[in-house]
Amino acid sequence: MKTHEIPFYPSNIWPFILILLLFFTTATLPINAHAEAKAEENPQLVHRAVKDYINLENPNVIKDVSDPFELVNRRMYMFNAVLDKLVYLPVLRTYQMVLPDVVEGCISNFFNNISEIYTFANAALQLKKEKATTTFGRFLMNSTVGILGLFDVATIYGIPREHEDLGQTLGYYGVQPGPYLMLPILGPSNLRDALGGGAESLLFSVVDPFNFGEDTTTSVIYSAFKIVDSRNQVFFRYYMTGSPFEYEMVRMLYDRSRGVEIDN
Amino acid sequence: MQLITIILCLFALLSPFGAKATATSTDPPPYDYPFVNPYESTVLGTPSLYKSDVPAKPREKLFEITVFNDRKIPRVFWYHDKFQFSLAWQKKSAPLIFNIAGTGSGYDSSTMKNMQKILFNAGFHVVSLSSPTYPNFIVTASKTMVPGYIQQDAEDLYRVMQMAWEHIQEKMKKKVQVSEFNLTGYSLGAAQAAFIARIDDAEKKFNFRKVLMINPPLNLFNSVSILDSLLDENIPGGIDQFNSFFNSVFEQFADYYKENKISLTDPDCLYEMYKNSPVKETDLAALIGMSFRLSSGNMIFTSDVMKKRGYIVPVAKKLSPFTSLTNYGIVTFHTTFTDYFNEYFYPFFKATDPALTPQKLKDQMSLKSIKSYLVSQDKIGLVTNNDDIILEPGAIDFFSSVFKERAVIYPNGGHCGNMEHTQNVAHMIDFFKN
Repeated sequence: MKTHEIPFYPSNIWPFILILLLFFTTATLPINAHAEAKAEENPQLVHRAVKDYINLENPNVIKDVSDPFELVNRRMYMFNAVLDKLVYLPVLRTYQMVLPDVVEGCISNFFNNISEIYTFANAALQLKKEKATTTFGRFLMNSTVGILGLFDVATIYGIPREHEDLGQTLGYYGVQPGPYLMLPILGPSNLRDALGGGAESLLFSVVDPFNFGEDTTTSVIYSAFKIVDSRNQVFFRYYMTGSPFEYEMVRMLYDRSRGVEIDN
Repeated sequence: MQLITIILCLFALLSPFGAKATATSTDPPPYDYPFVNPYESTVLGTPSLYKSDVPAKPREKLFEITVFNDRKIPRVFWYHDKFQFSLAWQKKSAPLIFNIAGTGSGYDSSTMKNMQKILFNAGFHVVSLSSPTYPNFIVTASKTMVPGYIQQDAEDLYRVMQMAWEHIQEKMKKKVQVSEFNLTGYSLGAAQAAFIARIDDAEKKFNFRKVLMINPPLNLFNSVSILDSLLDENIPGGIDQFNSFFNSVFEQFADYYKENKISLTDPDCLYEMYKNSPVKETDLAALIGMSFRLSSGNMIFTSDVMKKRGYIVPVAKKLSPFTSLTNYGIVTFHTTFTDYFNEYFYPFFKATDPALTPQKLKDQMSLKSIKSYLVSQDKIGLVTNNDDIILEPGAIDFFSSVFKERAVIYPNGGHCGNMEHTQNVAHMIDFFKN
């Protein structure tokens, strides 16, 4: 395996993420915990003390998500923001400048069409017949009439895209979300969804539907486009709200929105 | 990530100071803005059927400048290391409009972007500036770092406007040719615009030809008190029951989502959602209050960290970029702007002026304090709505008596809800062109 593959190939992103997690955990966690403990010794010098506003029985909505790895997660949040600023967004801007909007749309359609396979499989796993059927229909239609998925003709014909993933399937069968995780590069997640996503990527590389095989160049190009496109499809930018409490908002909304998705 | 993006966007749209993007036009006379309930107007903005068609993407550049060289940026605000603003520019000589955001909003909020697009397409250069109550402004560009005192905030804005203009000239190498300067702002930004115009009349750096105030508060303190109470008074059982309120609103959204697909490419998604499953008026009011509370909370927390006044964060507490702020978030959510005024803002200014009373300070936060200036200035115009929720009784009378024919008062539109209505846009462009 060539080293430059690591950050680009989806199935190989996971070891990289684990190493990063380990690095951030071991390198910085104990020192900071000590500093925090020290500062807590002076709580009296404050007009509105935290203890007067925290209700342990009815925690505020921004506090009711399990986040035992918050210190690491916050580091990862910053890491992602810096990575965005220095690498991801400049690349994305060039991508947007070079390609006409129509082409960008086609690329998004292409990758969305491939993700229909996951949606189909997960809808089937959850025995959601209707969702599985429409997704299968969409995939057939877009892969043929839509020229390998470049055009989303199914949506034009009034068959909207569904989304299911392994995290949702696990949730559907009662697996709890587990601790909140801020994944490097990939963003907000939790243990359940991260395992689901990891398993899906692993499966992709084992099944190798495009027959990339030993052809690393093609697989790197594929992955590079996939990564840039996935960022292009996500409107969120780190620190876009300007709020000091953005981390809390994202955590709460991620948790809530996954809950809604699983219920569907 | 898809749904969370949708929800984040909906959150952004819910801002009392936010409406949304583009679409088709209709032909106007009698004023046909569709919502008569001001809370609906404020939340839902202008449906695309009532908007003008705005074609081109603005030619935009983002800039970052250091306003105070000696300012130490706390590590927890590492991402606010420089003052940010944007420029949309024309290739030929054109008038420039400085646009100031409303309470708690950044230069790139959805309302600011929509105004930028509208004004750019009408042939203006547009410089978009964050509100002095926006964290990035407090950290990098506010002299006292205690926002809300309009005269001082106006001075801060006037300083960054000059620096921004210098920076643009330097970076754009004379590519941006300006024929004249104009000024506008909405909500709190509108009140600040009036104060800035007054400063400029003395300093003459820009010699604004026209100044348009859109939906200003008459008295900032009174307006924020109204917004404060929207949250406290419309949640069944009061603020302590916020969780159950939030959960019930979220469940309504989830139920809707189950039945319908929400697409953000549809500029009317929020409107469609509302049409199909309307929210109670008290819930709408509470949502406006929530959005305002989040903005004012951001402001209060940011100011406290910058000033180290031990209001919410203990003086001795060292915040790193990785410190959990969740508990402080909860405290700020329980802190109203009125609390901020009484416990933080007033004591701060009292320290420099022992004769200052709370009433005197409140009076200085009002447009009434510059009434004679406003009466005498033909270049200043005002746009507001008869049902603007942030206005106290008597405010409309004050505006019509002071601005006379320079005031355009629409019958409905809530707070900034109708800013993108065809007629509002036509009037705004007409105002700056004539």
